[in-house]
Amino acid sequence: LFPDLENITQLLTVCHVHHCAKHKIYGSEMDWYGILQLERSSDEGSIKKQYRKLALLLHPDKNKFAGAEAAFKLIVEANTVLTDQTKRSRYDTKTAPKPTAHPSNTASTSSVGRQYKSTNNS
Amino acid sequence: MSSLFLIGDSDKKSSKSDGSNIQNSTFSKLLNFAPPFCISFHQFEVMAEPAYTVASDSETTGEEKSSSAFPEIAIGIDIGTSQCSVAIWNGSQVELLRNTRNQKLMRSYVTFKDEIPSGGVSYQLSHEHEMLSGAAIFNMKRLIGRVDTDPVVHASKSLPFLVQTLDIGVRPFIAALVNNIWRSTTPEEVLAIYLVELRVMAESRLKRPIRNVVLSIPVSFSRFQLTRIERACAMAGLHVLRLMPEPTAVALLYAQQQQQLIHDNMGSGSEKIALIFNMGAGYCDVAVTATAGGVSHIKALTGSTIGGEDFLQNMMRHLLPDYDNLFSSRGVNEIKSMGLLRVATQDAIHKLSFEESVQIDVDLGNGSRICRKVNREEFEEVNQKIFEKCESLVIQCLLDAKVQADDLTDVMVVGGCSYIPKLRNLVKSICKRELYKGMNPFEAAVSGTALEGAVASGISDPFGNLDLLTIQATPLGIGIRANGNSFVPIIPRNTTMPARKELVFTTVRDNQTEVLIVVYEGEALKAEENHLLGYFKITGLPPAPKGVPEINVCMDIDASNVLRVLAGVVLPGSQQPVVPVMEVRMPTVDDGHGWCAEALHRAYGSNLDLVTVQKK
Repeated sequence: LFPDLENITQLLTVCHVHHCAKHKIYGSEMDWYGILQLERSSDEGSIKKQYRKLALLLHPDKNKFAGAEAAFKLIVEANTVLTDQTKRSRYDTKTAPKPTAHPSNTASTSSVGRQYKSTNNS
Repeated sequence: MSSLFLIGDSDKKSSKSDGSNIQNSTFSKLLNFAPPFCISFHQFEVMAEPAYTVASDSETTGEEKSSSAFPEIAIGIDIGTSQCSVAIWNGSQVELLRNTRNQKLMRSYVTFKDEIPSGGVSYQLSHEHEMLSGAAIFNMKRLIGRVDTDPVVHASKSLPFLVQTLDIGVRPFIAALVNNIWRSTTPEEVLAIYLVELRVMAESRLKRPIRNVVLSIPVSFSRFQLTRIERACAMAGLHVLRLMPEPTAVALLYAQQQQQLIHDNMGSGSEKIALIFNMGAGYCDVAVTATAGGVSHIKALTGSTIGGEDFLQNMMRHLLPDYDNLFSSRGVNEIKSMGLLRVATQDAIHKLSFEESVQIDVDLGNGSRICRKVNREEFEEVNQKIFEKCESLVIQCLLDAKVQADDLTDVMVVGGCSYIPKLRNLVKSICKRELYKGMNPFEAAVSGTALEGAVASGISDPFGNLDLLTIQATPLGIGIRANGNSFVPIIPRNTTMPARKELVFTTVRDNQTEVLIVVYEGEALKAEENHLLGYFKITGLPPAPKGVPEINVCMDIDASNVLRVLAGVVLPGSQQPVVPVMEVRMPTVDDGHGWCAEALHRAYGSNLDLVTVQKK
């Protein structure tokens, strides 16, 4: 890449996290897997590894872009939920990728299924 | 009444389940948290510039001043109760700076004997006892930011200078004896004088001005005490880049050492859990860290105001049971006797780390003379309570980190007390591990602060030696007074920083138009037993039955450890705040804050109280 864009990874990671945070599953649940750029099937080891990788990119000591701090707080929250067995299974049940599994109505006008898919792939 | 709490709850249902409140849509909107995607892109253009400016800065200045490759790099300072040291990342490794007498560890004291006070960095004591003549002030780290009702201040009365208390919640009267006159001072002033000397020393060694510093601090310091440290630094012309709890500085050094050992740790993903026990003259701190790939994630922190000073005081009272009576007054002679006993006892304690027994022979000059043998067992018995406290800190820290002793990879004992056999043994036996040998126990903390100084200054190392990060945790819970006189933590202890958490409260009276947000820091259940950080009032609440207004109190700690408290009020059914959101930087209190909480209570009673909204 263009050498002057050396911090582009940091910037893109910030954008990615906020993008995922904005697109909520079923309109209310945070997409923690999407925020950490992980599959739902990821094991604890790879969650921790991915969290550390993102922490190095997003921690305000390492990333001076606006929004880095807020993004860091989001990955911490994601890590807290996904590395705690109880919290993770409760979250998994709530956000199981079946449109009928969750009774709550969505504030969003877009299709629930499509929204989840798009956040997961980005 | 409980039905009232449900109003407006529909959009919060999900956020209540596990305390993760950032997705609380009402308040997120209200506080403008999580900027939308488009704003992030907009900031691409805005923010790109300063980021590159930083990069080019280091290049140009590096060329201009070839003598030092990293001119803007922050230095690390370990301010010890008894000794201080300064270190810097020199481009390839951490280097401790030496003073003109070639010392890396310098005694922490300032003597007011002459017109210009001088400290232990540059000044050579003609005799050890000169430090104990009443003109020298030391142990400032134990005294800073404490009021005269604090037990630690009371214990400091046995120091050979003046510490007088009136027990009314103001700063204690601290003074040095200069030409038979008490010259009053403050711990901040003493520390500032000392820091100026450290700065001058570092500037002459590095041949450049020093502005940015990273300081190590005890885990148990309240945020008010941190402001006193910052004030002392400001008085000395230094800007605090980071204040690092001591064991977390050690954890960063450990992370760097592990990183050097295994270059591709990230690939293997092997995580090492380490326990760090750090005990100096004034404080005992414990941390558990999970380290991999150069990232040190602090899992838990515990700390207490116990240290070598307590060992010393217990021993002095053991050797001279009439200690408090003899030295209730502070004449020149009493101070001299106290000093003599202090030096002799300190010497004996040091020797007991390596010998089974030691002979003490000291003439106190007031007709009494102590001449006896002391053995290690005696020392351990006299200080049993302190050792028990150390044990409980280690156990507590493991518990908080949700770590079993078997999970630990390495265990470190660092700080001035590290060679006390009983301490080493108790840590070893709880952790079921031999102690880590890869670091100098006296230099570990300062080395860690120097690493953080380099990392936080944005320095990178071509060999990846600075691809490091400490993810800090809050050492104390932060919350507000609510539910009568209870302390309700909003950011609990050991929360990963930076952090943002919120809780919803409501009014206790019908048509209550004002609420008082009193912010405390600590672990005690009763609000006033914690450290008061500040208070502010939210006014102009519309008349409503009690329990109806939703008062959102949000606390935010940023990467520089700045705490802000935000409070907003919404009425059920409305998304808009009814009064403007108040955002206050804490702490707001100043010296004499001991009076504030009491006065508030007297003036307002429960008129402005809050209660937590019950979770379903």
